[in-house]
Amino acid sequence: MKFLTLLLFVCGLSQLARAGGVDDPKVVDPAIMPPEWSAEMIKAWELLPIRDGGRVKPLYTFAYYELLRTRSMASLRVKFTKPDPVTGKMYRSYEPMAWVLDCFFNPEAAKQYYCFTLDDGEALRRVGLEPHPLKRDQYSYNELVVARDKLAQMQDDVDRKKELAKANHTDPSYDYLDEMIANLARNVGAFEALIQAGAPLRRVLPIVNSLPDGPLSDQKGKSITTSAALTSVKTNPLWGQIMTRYEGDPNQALMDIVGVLRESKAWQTAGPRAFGEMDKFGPAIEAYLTESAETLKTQPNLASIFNVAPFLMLDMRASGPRVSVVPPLGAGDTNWHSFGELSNIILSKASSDTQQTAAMKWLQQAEAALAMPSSAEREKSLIKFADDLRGASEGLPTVATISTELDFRKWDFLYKAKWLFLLIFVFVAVTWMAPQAKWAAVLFTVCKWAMWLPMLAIVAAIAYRVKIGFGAPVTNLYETIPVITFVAAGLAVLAELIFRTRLALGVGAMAGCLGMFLTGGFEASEATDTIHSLEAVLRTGVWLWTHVMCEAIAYGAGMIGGFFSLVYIFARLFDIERKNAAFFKMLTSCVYGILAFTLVFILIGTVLGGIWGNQSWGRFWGWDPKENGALVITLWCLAVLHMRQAGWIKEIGLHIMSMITIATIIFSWWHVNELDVGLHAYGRTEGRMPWIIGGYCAVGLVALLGAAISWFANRSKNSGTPAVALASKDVSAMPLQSI
Amino acid sequence: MSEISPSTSAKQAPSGVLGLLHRLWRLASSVSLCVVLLLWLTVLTLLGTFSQTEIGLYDSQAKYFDSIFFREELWGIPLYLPGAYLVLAILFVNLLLGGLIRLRKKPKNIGVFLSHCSILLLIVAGWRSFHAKKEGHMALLPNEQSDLVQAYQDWQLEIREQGSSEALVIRDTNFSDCSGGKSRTFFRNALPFTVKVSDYARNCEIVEEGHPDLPASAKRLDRFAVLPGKSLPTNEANIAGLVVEIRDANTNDLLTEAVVGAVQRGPGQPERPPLVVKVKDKTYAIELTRERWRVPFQVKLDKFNLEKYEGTEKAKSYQSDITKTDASGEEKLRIQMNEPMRRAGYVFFQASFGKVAETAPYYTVFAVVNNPSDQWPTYACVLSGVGLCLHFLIKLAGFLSRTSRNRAVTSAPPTV
Amino acid sequence: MLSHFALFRKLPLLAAIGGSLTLLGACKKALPDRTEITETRPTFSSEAPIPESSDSMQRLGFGAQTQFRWTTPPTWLLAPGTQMRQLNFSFGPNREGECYMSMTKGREGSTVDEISRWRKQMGQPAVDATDIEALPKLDLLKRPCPLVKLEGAYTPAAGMAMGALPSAPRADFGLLGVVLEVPAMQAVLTVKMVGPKALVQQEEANFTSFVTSLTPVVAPETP
Repeated sequence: MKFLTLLLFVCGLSQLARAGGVDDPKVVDPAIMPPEWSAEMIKAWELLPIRDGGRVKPLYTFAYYELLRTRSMASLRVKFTKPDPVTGKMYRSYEPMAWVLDCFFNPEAAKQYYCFTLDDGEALRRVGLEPHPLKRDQYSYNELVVARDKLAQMQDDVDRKKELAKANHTDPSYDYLDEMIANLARNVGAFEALIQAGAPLRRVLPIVNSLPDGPLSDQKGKSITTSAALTSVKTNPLWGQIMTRYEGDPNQALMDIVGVLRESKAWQTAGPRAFGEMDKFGPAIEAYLTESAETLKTQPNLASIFNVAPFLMLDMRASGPRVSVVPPLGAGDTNWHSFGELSNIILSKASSDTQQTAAMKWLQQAEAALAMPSSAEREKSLIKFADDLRGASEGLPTVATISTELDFRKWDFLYKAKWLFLLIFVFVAVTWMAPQAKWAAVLFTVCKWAMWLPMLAIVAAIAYRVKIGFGAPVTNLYETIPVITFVAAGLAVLAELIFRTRLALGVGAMAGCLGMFLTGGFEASEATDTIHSLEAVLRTGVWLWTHVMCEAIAYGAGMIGGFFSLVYIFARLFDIERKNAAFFKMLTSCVYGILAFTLVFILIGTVLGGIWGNQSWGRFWGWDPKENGALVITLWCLAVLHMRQAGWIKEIGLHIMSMITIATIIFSWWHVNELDVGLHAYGRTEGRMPWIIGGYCAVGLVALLGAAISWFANRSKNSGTPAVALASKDVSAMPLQSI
Repeated sequence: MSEISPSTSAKQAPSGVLGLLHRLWRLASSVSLCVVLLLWLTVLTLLGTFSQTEIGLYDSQAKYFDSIFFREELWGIPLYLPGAYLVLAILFVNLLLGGLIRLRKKPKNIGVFLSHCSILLLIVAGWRSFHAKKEGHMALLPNEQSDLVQAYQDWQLEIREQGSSEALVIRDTNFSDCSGGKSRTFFRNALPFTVKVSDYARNCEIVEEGHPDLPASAKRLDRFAVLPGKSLPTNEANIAGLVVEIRDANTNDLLTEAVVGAVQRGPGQPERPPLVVKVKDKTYAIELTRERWRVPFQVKLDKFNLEKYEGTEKAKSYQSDITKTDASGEEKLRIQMNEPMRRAGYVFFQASFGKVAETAPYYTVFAVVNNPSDQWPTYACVLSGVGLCLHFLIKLAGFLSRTSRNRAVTSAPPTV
Repeated sequence: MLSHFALFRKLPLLAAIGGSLTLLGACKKALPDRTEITETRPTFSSEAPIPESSDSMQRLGFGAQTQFRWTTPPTWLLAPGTQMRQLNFSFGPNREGECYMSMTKGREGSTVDEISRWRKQMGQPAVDATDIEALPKLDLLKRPCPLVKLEGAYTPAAGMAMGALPSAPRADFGLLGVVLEVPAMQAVLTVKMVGPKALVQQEEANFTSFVTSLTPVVAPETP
């Protein structure tokens, strides 16, 4: 027990250290900060549906994982050089939604936030940047953008090497720093996509002075909005001819027009190197039109298209489908659109008039909102814009669960369950110190009832996910963790009800807490939406409910059985409860029962999996790694139970074997995914292997410890001095003795 | 940790041959043997799983799971270890003797009895399907009709005479050792020539004779040669090649010598002519190809439906609408995930789909299986489910009644 | 302790021994050097009639030699053709360069489309007929055809297999290609060479010699 308490303290301390942080040199001048978003604004946008990763979800979910992936945690604190004149604080805290809103609408400020976490700054030297003094630190977009081309190149390089290694079945020829840079490059790219997503709305296109008289020439020297530019192109007589030639595909047409611009001398000298440098577009266009003034004088229609084409093309291509928040535009349209794609719809021959009108309406409404003079009015109009967008999607079957999902995300059940489990464990541990005291009995009763809270929280989380996702509790690796944790903790509670020793509840709370830490860690390491689209073959509720649940129950049972064995071995090691033979007997009965329980579920689960395979693709058993993993657990449980039957193992032997059961579960649950072969290969992740090996080592060490204890106990017994009161002689009294 | 030692039982047993048999009987039916077998199966499963990253599923399965003995080298010492086939056979005997016949027939053991029966049934089902199961695939473009199923694995050399109703078949297991200078001659009395196979490579590239990687020993025939390559972990992707030497069966005169490359059939695969041999006005075609067989009905793809996840290229669901035709008439059916077509002992599963070119229509791929022990595992599952749950509940009930009795006696406060 | 019948006691043991013997018997013996063919299968109605003779090149998938003759440059290797590539060569130290001849039939072919597609693969904008007029010419089947020379990041056409991701662009690649429209056959004949820039430059002379060496066995109708 002392050991567990110590473990708990270490866990707690490390969490405190993380929360406290260290002195931070990365500060921003509060003068550049945009006004803070109001709660209403954030609320309206959080609930906005977005199509992402094959389904429609609240924008909050999208924002959460964007920030989680970039910052390695789902919140951001922007620190100031001096107190903020409005709030007087030295920092501003950002929730995911507020950060994404700044990316959309205040990009210049967002580019200065230190939101890119890099685990090892050394990696930056590979793209020619000087790292911060702290090894693991955050960087801003503006710091990184100077090496943008090199970052992209490194990412490309790593991707290619990865592909090559996979094709040739060799180890990839890059190291972890390269990989880190590639990930950083991906995050930079995703950030740029966020910035680009709002660009069409906030854009003002400069109309150059050298434009010959004709369309748009009345706006010379001024700026126009994206919608005005689109209208001018649509009404341009030349555009009709161009569309005929390009079979109504504005994307390709604009690309070719810009191609002409790009190859001109004027563009190459004055123009931007990359398409990211939009501020250089104006001067470059000006230079081109001046250079070709002679030829274009007679073609004012063409000149006006040249003036706006680069901006429109950028909207169509760069803002891509990443942030698709505009719902289908009426009859015949089933697609969701990003703001940039609206330009494509407005210009395309393939879209109907209603669709074009609707697209234009959204564009103009957003532009008008952003053009509001005061920030309060601007926000008000943006709230209305979000509400209108959401209103337009109402009634679609895909958005039915949006508000449910937002509730679910906001509740963050599993995070709460984590701390509840921990709290309960601490209090139960306190009651162990005074087994006879009255207050301890009362406290324990409270804990026993309080244990329902985190358990129900897990159930709630699973129930929400079933409703939002694909109608089954376990559809991916992430979802196995809460289910397995629930089973483990639930069995411990059951053991508590049977044995009433206070120990089982503590073990259950600890297991629950560890499981929840694993859930959080897994989510952070993946940093993608944990409700993701399901392979077509898996879309069968019946089998996901039966086969997968059986397996998960067996994993949970095997794990908690191992935990009890861990307690047994450590209790023997530290000679706790030496006079209490009943205590050890209880643990053994408990582990034996749990092992039998594990066997029932793993065997049935495995056979059900085979039957599913036979039903779906005519193959009961294919020696696939995941199947083999389940088989290893089944065979191991069978072997252990028969070993006991044959008299090979007695009390401590059973606990050693139960520890090894944990190893078989680690193998089947995590290790086989890393092999990256077979049909079930759904979760290979770099950097997970050390954890798995660590798990094996820990389990192996405890098992060895058990073996050593058993050996010494036997020796001292043979020499006549019984060291520990072993209950092993009374094998016949064992419950569930044979199976 | 004592085992039930055979010597104690031997004391009561008669001596001599009978005694030996008795000992053997005790051993064959012992729980200890069962444990040893189960542990060894665990080790085999682990070995067979890890080796998949190196040699692929097909070879791992053949080496560890389908074999009676397999060879493993440990620090250079070759070891011959029992494979899963042998272990499962012994486990079957052990379970039959120890788990059924020697099991004490008491009401409380009913669960154990049923579970043991179910495992026996599973082993038999596995054995039956291992020997009798036939599986392959059928790929169809819209409006295409076929009754031919093609195997996924293994090549075979086929010799077909023009106008004959039968083709001769030589499976690759018969010539898989014919490489590195080794060859084998195949003959048949009715066949006017013999076929000598050499230079076999399980995975190869057929190259022009000037290829720099080509070893000097490789046979170069009519500008081409077989360049052996590394076997791929996914066996289906291996493309075999070999050299044949055709000689007159009577005079042993050389008729022709040629490089033969494996022919793949399916959507997007170009048609290739076979090797043609003419002997005494008869024309023969020789091909290295996958095994094909007929199902007793025609299947025509009417329509392939595909639904993707919103805004992605990932398939959400896909189905094939087909027409099945045989002597009894026409039948319109839909085959989709988890809803196969079961007809005349054959089961058609929706396996995958694909495209020949970007603008081409999708073709559908059915996995076709003929397995006589198709439903046996389901029965075994029901049996083991009932058996195990029954046993677990009997034991739990017994234990709970014992503890509650104990608790009633000792009213001391619970301690840790 | 054991069962009640003496027979019961022996039967399983006998079965066990018999079983083991059968298993041992199942162990495979190596086949003799002369082996009779014992297995047959029925022929299928869909099987094509056997041709009178077959040429190794066609049989082994090396392509359209019945339509064309050519001279293979010394550094090139002929590779098996595919549906899209009637003649297929590879070259370079790791055979990373490739050159192939395609003949697409039954399509309203257009030189502009074909060249624009190539330019797109190299990340460059499309062209029109006037641009093509300006290109240098190379003789293919004795007709001057536009010769395209491109450099840049090469993105191969998206994979045909399901689930295949579009390939990543490969930096510093070179492309050489000629296009010939044969309207009478409703076909477009192209010869295209792609590979790392330096390699393509080095092989340019071979490309020219290969293209000019292509001659039809049966002359196609004059356009």
